[in-house]
Amino acid sequence: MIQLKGKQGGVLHCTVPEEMSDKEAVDGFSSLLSSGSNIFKDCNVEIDLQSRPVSFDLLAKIHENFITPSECVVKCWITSNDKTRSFFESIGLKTNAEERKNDVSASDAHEANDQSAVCSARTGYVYFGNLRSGQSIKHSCDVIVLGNVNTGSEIIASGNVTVLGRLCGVVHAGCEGDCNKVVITRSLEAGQVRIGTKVSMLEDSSPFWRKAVSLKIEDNKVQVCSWPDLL
Amino acid sequence: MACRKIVITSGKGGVGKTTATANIAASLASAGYRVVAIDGDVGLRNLDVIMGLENRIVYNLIDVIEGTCRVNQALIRDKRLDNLYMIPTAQSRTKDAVTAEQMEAVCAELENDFDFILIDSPAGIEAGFKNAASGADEALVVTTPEVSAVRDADRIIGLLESMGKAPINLVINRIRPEMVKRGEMLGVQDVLDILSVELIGIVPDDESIVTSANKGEPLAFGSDSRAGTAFKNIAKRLCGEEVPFIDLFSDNGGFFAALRRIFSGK
Repeated sequence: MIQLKGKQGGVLHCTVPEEMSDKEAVDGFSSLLSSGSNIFKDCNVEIDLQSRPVSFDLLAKIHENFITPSECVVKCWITSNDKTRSFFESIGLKTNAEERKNDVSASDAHEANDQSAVCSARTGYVYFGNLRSGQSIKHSCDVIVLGNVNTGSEIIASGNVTVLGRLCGVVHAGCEGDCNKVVITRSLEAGQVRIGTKVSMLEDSSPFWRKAVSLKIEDNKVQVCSWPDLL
Repeated sequence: MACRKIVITSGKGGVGKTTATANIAASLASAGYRVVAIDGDVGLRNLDVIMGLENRIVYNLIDVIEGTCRVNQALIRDKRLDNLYMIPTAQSRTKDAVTAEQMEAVCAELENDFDFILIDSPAGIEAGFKNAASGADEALVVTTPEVSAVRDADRIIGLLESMGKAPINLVINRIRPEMVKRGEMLGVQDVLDILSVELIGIVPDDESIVTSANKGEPLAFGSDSRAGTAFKNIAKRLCGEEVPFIDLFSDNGGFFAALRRIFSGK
């Protein structure tokens, strides 16, 4: 599964695990598009291909199946494969080596643009379907899941998290330490929910178990409340 | 009909993948389809034992991949049915002896001669599973109604979805109705609520499975046990027939129930 992570500076970081075959990678990009709603449009993206050797054919398929239909802007291609990096640079694509070179000189300019860049990245991520065991969403803003979050899966978000199905996996809202975030679920079935710097432990004997609830930090503790009472 | 390539997988070990492969293959072949079952569990060969064909092995899947023999030389015809074959794997090699591309090539070579190719996948989510799955278009996920098995099945379904396998069907194996009734085991609906995939079969826990595996006689070859019937029904559903699920929760104990079964011929 291609991992998606929001980064400071308004860039979405797409990691293509190197254990995926080229075909799986292309399919992964397609499913990213079908499961994420419009979050890529006009969004700055960096694609991390790890040490995968990239052919012209694979590059063309990524372009055809992901970059063109999503209308995203690829700001940088990250690779640890020297051949791939040379290939990208020979056809004029910006790589992480080039980025590192420019980092020092561009830092002042970056700071000035930061505010607008962060705003453009503050786009919610909507995931259609069930988040299965082993799958994770990491995002720099709010996350909405239109399905179940199964045991063994995790959502780590800087913003609020809403699960319109059963919440059995791990959720961390406000993961950068923001304790003002909220977790909402249609059915609370998770033994643990994290908000900001707090962790709440829940037993299945809790009156809120399998109920629609919202969780929020009040008086320095995670408070669980029947949804939507707390909001 | 176009060949259907199905991987039988689970994530967790010991839930009955190999037994399911052997029995579904036997059921499909009994219905007249040309079937080949491939043992994808390199290094832990078992399918040949369950199908009772271990004495007939000359070549195996790794021999085909390494070019030691042709694919039809590694095909072992079943001793009971002419249209049922299997390809064993090597016991003395490890999972990295085969790649996804090689598995795809073997399946592509077989697809003109068979209606069904069933691939018995190893447990786990590493290369062995990925290689086995890469040869297939569809998947059949086997789980038992245990929390750990269901969680592993969920992981596997996620991986199969990301690999583009469809449809992904579910077999719930070794269900014990009396434990479900007592609330000591997950019920069918509990498992379906978690996994959210199409259910294709429920197989009750049955001692006859152990006996048949030890004898190398798949239950689908004429056994009237409930597990045997369940596997035959799975094969029918795979072929598109609408078959109701066996009512595992009906009263099957006591004198009057036994009398009812005798008179109803069940």
